[in-house]
Amino acid sequence: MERDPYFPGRRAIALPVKDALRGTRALFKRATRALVSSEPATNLPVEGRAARGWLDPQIGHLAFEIAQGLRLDPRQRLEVTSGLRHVTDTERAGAAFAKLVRQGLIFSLQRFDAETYLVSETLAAAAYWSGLRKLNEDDVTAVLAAHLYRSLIRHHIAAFAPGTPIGMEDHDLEVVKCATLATMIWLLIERPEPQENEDEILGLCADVAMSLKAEIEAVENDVPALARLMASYADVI
Amino acid sequence: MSILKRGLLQSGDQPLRKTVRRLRWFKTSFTEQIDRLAQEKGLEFTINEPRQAAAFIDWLRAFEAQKPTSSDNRRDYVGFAAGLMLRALIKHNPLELVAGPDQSNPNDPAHFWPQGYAYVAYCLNVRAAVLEQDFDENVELAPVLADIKTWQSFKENVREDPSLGIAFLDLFAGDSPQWTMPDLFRAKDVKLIASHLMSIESP
Repeated sequence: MERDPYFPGRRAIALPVKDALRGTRALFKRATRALVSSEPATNLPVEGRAARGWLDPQIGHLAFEIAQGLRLDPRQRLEVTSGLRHVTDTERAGAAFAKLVRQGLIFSLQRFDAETYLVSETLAAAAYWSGLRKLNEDDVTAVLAAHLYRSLIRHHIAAFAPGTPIGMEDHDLEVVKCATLATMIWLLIERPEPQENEDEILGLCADVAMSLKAEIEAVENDVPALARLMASYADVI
Repeated sequence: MSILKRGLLQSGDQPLRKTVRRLRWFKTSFTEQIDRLAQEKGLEFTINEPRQAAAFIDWLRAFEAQKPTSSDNRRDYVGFAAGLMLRALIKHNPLELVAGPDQSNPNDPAHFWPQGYAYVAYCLNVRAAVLEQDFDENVELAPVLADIKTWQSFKENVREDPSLGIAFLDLFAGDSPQWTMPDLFRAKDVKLIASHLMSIESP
């Protein structure tokens, strides 16, 4: 078969296509929730229930993904153990980071009861490259974490799915910042070896991050101070 | 039945005074304490984890803010740090009582104020464990710990000012409580000097 010269290749489009599909599923989920929550007040007809019966399996996969919590494969456990200490500028490293960050964010957002945001793996990968570019050779790992945090927020790493008729309010941004901070602290924690209870560790990071809302606001434009904040709490988790 | 349980809190490889500053250890040790209360007092709680983490962060900040530079004051700081933990737990109140004992005894502090009792028990156990490990001290608690009137005063006072929990913990531990500005650390020798100065200057 002749190769299409305009097709960039499966690998190049994999992330954007995955995100688009996830966006669609997130929309279904919001629609289902809207139906369910409106039912007592609106006395939905049987058709409403039938619609749910059709919608539920469509969002079932997404709900299943979230209900499972943090599921890391053995290679990802090694990546978390290494954390941000040995980052490289390879495509594989960027993709691995994007996947971990997405999982970390989803888990944290779920813990904050905020799982209707869409977390973009594409933007996480873009944020990775953008954050790496800011790094100097002698910067410590926490400084990288600070650059990555800022880069993820600038890239709007988590938001409502495209087409959702509401925008992100201040509270939503605050929650996303907490989840992002939680994920960066999680990746900063030193581990001598892979841990079995990463979901517990990330849960603690999420709870700590939620307590640090005021601090995040105060230091997020000051990279050294943000780095110190992250490092100090990574040390005590 | 003693509120203190020797060997309840294990620190692993690191000294306990360092381990207590880790959230994972705090969570595990706190859960162990709560489980013990369930067995011994028939009190069942659930733990609100975000509030628990908030209490830990609150405590850690307060601990770091007044940590003495001189090693001479380390022993006194152990008691004060335990009081800071009690203050943080009272303030953030991570425990929710699910079930009480079948037969409630109004003169039992654990039945009178289950959450407060749990927080005091935990803080006294951590305090005793650090003093035993780092200072070779065997702790004896004050008889007033079993006095229901003291607990009534404790609950009422910390409701208005959680910092008074620091002074009450000293009282329960058999130390001299500092009722004035209890959230300001003063080593025992400073308190002694201050008390002499006060007695000289008073008419």
